[in-house]
Amino acid sequence: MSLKSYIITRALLTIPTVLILVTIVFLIVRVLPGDPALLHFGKGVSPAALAQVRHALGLDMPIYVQYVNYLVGLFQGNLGLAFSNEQPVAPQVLSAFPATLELSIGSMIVAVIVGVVLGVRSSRKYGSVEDTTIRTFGVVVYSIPVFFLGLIFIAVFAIYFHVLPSGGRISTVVPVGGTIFGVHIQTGLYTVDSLLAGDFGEFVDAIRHLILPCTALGLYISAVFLRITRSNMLETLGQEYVTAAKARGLKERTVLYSYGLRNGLLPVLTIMGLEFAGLLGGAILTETTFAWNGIGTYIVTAISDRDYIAIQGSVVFFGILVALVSLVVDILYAYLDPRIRY
Amino acid sequence: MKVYRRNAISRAVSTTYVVILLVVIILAGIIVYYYAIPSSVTPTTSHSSTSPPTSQTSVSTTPPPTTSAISYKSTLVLGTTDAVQTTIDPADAYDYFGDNMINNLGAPLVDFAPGTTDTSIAALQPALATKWTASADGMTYTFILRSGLKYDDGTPFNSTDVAYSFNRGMQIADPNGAIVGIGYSSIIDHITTPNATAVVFHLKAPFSAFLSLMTFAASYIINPAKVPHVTCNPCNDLTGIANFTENSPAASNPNGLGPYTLTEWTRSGTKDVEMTLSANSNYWNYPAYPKTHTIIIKFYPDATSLAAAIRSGDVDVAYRQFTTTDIQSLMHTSGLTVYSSPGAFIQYLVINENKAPFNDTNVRQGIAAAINRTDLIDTVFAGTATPLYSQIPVGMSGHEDAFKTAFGTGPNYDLAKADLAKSGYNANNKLTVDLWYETTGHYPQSPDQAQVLKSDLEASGVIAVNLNGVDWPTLHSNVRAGNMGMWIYGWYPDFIDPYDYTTPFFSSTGASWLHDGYNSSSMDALLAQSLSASPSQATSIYSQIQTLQATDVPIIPLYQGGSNCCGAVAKTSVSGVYLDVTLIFRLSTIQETA
Repeated sequence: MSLKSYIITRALLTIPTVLILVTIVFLIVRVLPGDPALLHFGKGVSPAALAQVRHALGLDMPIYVQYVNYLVGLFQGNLGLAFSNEQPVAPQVLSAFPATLELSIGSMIVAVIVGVVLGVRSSRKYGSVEDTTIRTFGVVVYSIPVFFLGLIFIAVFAIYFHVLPSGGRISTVVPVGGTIFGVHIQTGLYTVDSLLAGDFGEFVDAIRHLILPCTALGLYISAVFLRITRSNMLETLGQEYVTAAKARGLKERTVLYSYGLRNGLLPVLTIMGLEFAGLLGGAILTETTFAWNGIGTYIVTAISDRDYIAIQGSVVFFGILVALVSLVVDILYAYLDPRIRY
Repeated sequence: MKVYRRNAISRAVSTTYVVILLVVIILAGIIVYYYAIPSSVTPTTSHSSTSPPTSQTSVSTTPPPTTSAISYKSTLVLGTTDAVQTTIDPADAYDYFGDNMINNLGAPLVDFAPGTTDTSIAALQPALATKWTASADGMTYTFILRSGLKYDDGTPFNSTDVAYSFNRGMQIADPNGAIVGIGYSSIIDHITTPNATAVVFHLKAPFSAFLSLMTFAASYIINPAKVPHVTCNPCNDLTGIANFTENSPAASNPNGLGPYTLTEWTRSGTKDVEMTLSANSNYWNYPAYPKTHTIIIKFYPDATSLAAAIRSGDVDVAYRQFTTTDIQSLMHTSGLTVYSSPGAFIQYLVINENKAPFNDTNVRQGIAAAINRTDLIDTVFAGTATPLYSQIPVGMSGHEDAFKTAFGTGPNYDLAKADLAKSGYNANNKLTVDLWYETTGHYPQSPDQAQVLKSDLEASGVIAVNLNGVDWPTLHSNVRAGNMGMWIYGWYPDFIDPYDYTTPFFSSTGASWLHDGYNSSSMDALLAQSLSASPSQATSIYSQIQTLQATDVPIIPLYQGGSNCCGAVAKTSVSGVYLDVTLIFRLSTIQETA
């Protein structure tokens, strides 16, 4: 099968995957206990008002009608109206997504740099004190809960030294983006929006807010990358072609990076893709610790409110994201390794 | 040999690193103990409580004397764990923070002064109205408005806007909104506007709490130019509501007569992230108020992150909600001031008379006698709340400690035993009750409250308590289903009047939302009298209502206010924080020295 056929097949397989996910989520959220219509009412509720809300939310329709309506809406980019506030879910999810994306990208940068660099270093110094140190570091950062690490960071850098903010995404007013070629652009990514607005001070402030949460989350994930990079590098460095390269008198650095890392990093790529996709679903502990309102917070709020439509919408959105990221990773993998085909 | 040496080195290294790991964990624990987890640190003199203004002239048409020696910051950052539940439209909002934003962005006809300790009608201050009169029969109320006022967008204000605001709310008739919840349509018959500065409310029946109702957020005046036009009546047309609109604070905010105007409102998903309020130069009391030109409100997910934000200096003021341990720690943190609130938030035990054994008055009275409010407040709220011996909060006109009169300060175990003995309960045949409470943070530390209540009730020796913790939605639906015997509930004031703490709880029709089966013709008669009572008559009637509550015991009041629900923490450089029984957090009085 050619690369082109592989990509097309892989892309088509994504569709039933998402459809199955949508169906499962739709059914699961409706067997949860509790009446979501009641959530509309604070102090008192009359039966007539309750019936009115149930009708407005479509809860009085048979479940298969609700399902068909949901699928039709989904294909139109409509994720429905949230039960809790009667507002469209899609804009809510999209408004929460930039925060999560910014946190995910920042955390991945930390995780990849720390994980891969230490993983390579560890494999290079196999069996040494340095190797043991790095492996211990990996175990420690992986075993410390993110929220605990986050609390330590806040206690030290925000409360004690006052050098970094304790939470949130910006100190002052949210950046509004800027105009490029006559078009106003606001991405919701504060680092990008502050640059678009030409406010470098705000950009620095946004970066300062990213440091603690991204470091806490990034260090946690880096432990996974570290161990996988290390084990793959060790395996790769034991291959005959690496020995042959050494025998030809190539420099150790060239052997390590051009022969070892290039091949040893391939399996790591898959893990990176999955970890990144997982992050896009929201890192609720990190978000809560650092007052970072992203997708994770949105989903947890929807669950506690028993907001079926919001849960559906956010899980479907997340499912599509995971499917797309997996698709991209698989394509990238197939591109980098010609042996990968169906 | 080589393998042996490597294993030996590895073992040595492993031992070394296990020790290092332990040291790191211990150090981390110490750091967290001191800085992240509230602890007893060096006491300072920073703790103080709210000092209400010495007079009620804080809101005045005359600017206060200029203190040129002190300069104040033009921007102040406020942190909170609250959020706007739906909108800041008076026709829709029926949640604490949504109402509080209306309080700061809009204006009522009449208002209570910041920090007031008097909530009688006589204490009401002019706001949009400078004068008001009630007819002798209590059927009409006439307000004379300020002339020449404008909304924040420059639109002129007149009496037709007042009529429009109320009519619009009653036309929309949002079933989730306060207009329907309180029943404005059953109070107001129609509204006339004799001229541009006079508005007359014609009531369907005398309603003694009408002027107090005018201070409530749902009675704030909106800008007709900023909301969709509504014509049907009633229509339940929710499209007429000014909803949150992304990137358009003007469209999100139908108010416009208050000290502030909304210049930014950012949401992520359903969560508020940030709001920015700027001084409204068209405010009737400008430039005396607001004291700070720009207020940035940052929203935090929980008490821990809010406490970290005030400790780190990320915010200048933090308002609602903290845990008791946070409050205890912040009280002793240098550079911060903790403000406790006598706010009218109350918690109480509802007893369902439809379920045995609670249909027995002796049982209800026995439980009431065994309640230990002091222990509850000291243990759960570090002494920051106020024990409550009536459904009407302390600080509200008409309040009487009826339960203290009937049962003592409590716990009165002898009385409890005597009451329960009348129904055959004793140490060998204990009264066994289920106590329900929510576990999802809807109310401050409900699981802790339930545990203390159980402990103290069981200390009587004649009561056994089974605890049932459920999440808020389940508790809410259980109330509706009427399948619980006794549960912990809470109430935020709609408006500051004893009516709001009696009729919704004890009326055989008005309290149907509680599903507690309380139905007393004597109580109904007293509640009906309270509606048309003059202020002097009202005191006597509410006294009888509270006494009857302590006799019938459909509800047992527990506590009110407290730092957890309603307290604020601010830098010591901040002044003008007034917390009072109204539970309105007034941003316009706050300022911080530069």
